Amino acid sequence: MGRAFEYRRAAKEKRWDKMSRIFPKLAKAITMAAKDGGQDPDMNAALRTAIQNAKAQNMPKDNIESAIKRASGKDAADFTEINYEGKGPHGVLVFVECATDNSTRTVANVKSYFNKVGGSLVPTGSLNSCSAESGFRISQGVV
Amino acid sequence: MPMPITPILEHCHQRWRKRKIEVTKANLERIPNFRVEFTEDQLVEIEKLIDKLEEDDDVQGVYNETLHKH
Repeated sequence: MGRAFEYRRAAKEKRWDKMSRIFPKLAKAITMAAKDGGQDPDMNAALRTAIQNAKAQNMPKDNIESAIKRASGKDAADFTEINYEGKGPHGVLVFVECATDNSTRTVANVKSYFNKVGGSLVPTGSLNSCSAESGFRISQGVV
Repeated sequence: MPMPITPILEHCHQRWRKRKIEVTKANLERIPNFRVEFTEDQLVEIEKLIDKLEEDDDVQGVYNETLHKH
């Protein structure tokens, strides 16, 4: 792979971290985990992991706490997980994982992104080549 | 990304805690069985699509089969 590409990609990712673009996504993961298995991180492994991931990205504590609280609020949005599969430019296969409270909006948006670049959504289940795998990364090992 | 934490992962966490190894990130990822090679120009176009998808608030994760790891 070209070095210019790698470099540009790395610079972009750095910028994204600063932009805190990922906070809403991390918060959503926390809210969903809290709703699923209870608000106590000691009893809820999924929530604990979600909090850990958020902390690793330097998400402020207040944000984390409010994300947990959002799971129990009266106006708690009901998120559902949906996956979309699509074909992008040059036939690249893309797997999109979504968590949404309004799937009508999501599917319209995702479809439009694909259509704009000359791709399209493909029926769910077409992408057998993408297998679900678990992965851990220890980015900071203190032994 | 919302994830079903398997007992295996939980077991690993316990072991790591015992050994005082700090876990900073743990998540489930979709890993393609086959990687496809693209030219740089093609990758730029593909990247545009992936950026668009990732920017959407409803999207939690995007996985694809390019050789380059996004």
